[in-house]
Amino acid sequence: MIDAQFFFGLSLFLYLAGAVLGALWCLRPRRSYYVSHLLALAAGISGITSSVPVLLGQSPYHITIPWLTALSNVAPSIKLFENFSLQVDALSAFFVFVISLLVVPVSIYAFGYLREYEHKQSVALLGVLYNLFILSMVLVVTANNALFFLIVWEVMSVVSYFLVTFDHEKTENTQAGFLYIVMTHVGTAFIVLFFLIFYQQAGSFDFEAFRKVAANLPDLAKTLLFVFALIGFGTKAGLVPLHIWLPYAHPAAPSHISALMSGVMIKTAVYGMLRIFFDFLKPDLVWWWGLVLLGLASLSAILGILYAVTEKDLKKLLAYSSVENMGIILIGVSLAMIFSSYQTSTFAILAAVALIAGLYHLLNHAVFKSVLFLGAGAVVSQTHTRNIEALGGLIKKMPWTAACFLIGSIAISALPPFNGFISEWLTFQALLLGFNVPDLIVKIIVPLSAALLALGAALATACFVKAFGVSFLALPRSEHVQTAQEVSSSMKWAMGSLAALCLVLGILPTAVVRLLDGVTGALVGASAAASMGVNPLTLAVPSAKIVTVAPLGLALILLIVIPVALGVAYMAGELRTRRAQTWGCGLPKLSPRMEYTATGFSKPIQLIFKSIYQPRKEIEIETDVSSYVHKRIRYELQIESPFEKYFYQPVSAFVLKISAIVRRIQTGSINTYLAYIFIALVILLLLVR
Amino acid sequence: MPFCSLDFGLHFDPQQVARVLDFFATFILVCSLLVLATERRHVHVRIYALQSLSLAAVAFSVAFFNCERHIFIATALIFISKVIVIPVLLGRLMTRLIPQQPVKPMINIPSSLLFAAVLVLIADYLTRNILSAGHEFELARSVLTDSVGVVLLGLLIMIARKKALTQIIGFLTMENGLFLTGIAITAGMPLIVELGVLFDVLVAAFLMGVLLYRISETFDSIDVEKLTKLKE
Repeated sequence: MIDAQFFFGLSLFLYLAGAVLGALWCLRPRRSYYVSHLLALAAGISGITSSVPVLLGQSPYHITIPWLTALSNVAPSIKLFENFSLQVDALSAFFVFVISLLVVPVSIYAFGYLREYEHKQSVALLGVLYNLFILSMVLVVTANNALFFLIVWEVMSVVSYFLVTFDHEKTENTQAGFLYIVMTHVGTAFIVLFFLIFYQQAGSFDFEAFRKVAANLPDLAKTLLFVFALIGFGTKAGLVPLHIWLPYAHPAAPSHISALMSGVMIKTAVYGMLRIFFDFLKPDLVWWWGLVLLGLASLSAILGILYAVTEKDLKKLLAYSSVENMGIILIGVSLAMIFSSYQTSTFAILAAVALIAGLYHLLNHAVFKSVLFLGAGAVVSQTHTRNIEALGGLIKKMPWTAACFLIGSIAISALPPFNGFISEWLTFQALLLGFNVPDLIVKIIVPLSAALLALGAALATACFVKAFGVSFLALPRSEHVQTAQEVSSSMKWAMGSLAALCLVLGILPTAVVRLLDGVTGALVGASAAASMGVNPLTLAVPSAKIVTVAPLGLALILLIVIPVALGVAYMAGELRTRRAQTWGCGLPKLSPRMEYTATGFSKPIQLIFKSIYQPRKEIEIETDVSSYVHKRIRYELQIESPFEKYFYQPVSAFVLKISAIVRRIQTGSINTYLAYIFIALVILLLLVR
Repeated sequence: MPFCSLDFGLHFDPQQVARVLDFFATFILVCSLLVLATERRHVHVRIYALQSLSLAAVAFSVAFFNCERHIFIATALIFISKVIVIPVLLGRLMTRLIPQQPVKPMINIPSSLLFAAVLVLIADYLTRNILSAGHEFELARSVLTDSVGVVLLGLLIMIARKKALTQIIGFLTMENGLFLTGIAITAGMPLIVELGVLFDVLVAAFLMGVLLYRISETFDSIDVEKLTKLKE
């Protein structure tokens, strides 16, 4: 049997070694970069090895950190560090698995991606931060002590801030970093409050003590705990309206880091919510908690994709789509919360289905969003622009990247046979199961949420048709594309393996569901795999009327039908190559200026949802001779987020105003500061006398 | 080896001992007042050395009369670090600083002496109840008053003067006041504590000296008012 615990320790050690060696070799940036990413790759493989046995049913294991225990022996007063330990149970193992699963291809991708940063001296730093970033994420999902959790959570936030501002030469990146660090600290503040309330009740920072005290919490404490956890983790998850940092921060980081940030970092928030709501507070769950989360999640799902549709920046589009997908994941989680709050065995099975849907989509999103980000990174590394209006025709120059991006796009648009379809289908079914809930308000919200999810899925398709079509098809729109070439083989293989994973996860849902069942079983206390996996080919949802889907069967049928269809077409002579000009309305030559633009493509959607976008248009027409002869037309469209306009801007204006007042006492003169201290001292002395 | 009074078979009246301590402590207070009353920095350093010498005398008296042997070590250390090393360090620093225009102090000399008088009164008022009659260290009350006064005056020096060098002197004066409290009131803290504090002061003086040199290089002046530029 594989010693999972050993491999877990090994992977932690390798990440640390990667960071340390990378730092030691900082004078040889290239070598440092390769060594740290190679060690991260090894650590990723080791991480997968360590988490799979637990997912397959091996009992959870504890790891204590030896030197911290030694420290508490030396100085007994440092009680706080005594219980710093890691625990890998099924839930933690699942997240370790997802992180490690992405780290392997992303590290491989990073070897080829180095060329993008070769000119930078600080490339060694990138490797160091990369390792620290992954290490902190692994520790976040395995920490077994609130204080330790907070420390590694903060390390994760700070390291990712440095990664966001890695290209600090561009002011937009430093601004994005600032927004990110402010928002993430607001979130952390609420998480700290959350744990402090728990500490007050439990008298210890140990997760074990939290579990014990959970059953008899006062009502007020429970409500506060929910609200703080929702805001704290909702910020990291990019839940609307706390999502504003995400579309700025994720595109600013180097692309393989963006893949990890969108792929797994924001999911640590889901981990936090699951740990809190299902591990600590399960007996306290109140039905409206899930409903609030469901509402916000549905809103995120629809608004995220609406902003993605009109986005012209390729990576920002992907970041907005992350908001949407986090919404979909949290729809599953929130439904599980609603079902679990009824505390009966029938509802427990429904909760298991909903949670499996959420976790399945989490895994899927991690995979296809990294394909897309890595693909976008490949495009940006060749064309040096993220504006899709300047791209076009890349499919001929970068066929591999195009194919992988296409697969990722199909998967994220929830089309079979790829993985996005299965998990969104499951989420949808879980929503329909919501009709079993006795409360009327749930019955009203659930169909609305289902409608939003369906609309979101359709818009996602439109969004990625645009993203793929405009960037990869037709003629190049600018000289950026002229010099583009296919990327190096390490990047190709990284993207290709993730794309293949999209297909595997899409056609083998029963196996994945069985893997997830261990995780959800421990959380909701019921197993759904038996009723869901009718046979290896078919996935079913337990309900009054059995609903099934058989993606593997579908794939097999397609495997037979497509060659037959192609054969028939070939026989009929339809497949003979015929070369001809595209019809250009009688104009002699087609130019890139005649192409459909991204803005034009999304215009109908923008018109339909005008009330949400509140677009600000500017049209300038230069005329010649008469007003009927247009010389040049300039069209500018700006979409302002209502959250920024009506919430964040007033808040920041208020904070600035207060700061300006407080600033008056900050004269900058040492003598004044000393006088403050002096006056305070004398007054205090006179008072306590 | 015979060191302290008991080794010589001598017994002193505690009242008399207290009077000796009081004499030196008052001298320390007077030294702080002198710093406030002068403008010349060379004088400041010399006054500081004198003050430290006086502090060493207090330490020696405590060691000798109360037979606290470890205080002898502290005495030696005070003497080496505060009477010799720090003044020499500051003296050498001054020769390297750029000669400059006289800087007008924040609070002029007469007013700052007036403030100083108020502060000494406050110190007296504060300490009056702490060591009331019948207390173990009752006799040390006036020493305590002196030391609190020295601390407050040290702070006042830092506030009232703009030159960075004088501010260092203010800091060191404060620190002397704290030391005086420690030695006179408790008849000596554990040696390790005193060692730590002394080392801290030495390092602080050294660091501040380096910083001061940098400030003077950067701003062509050691007027801390100029540092307000750093605010933006």
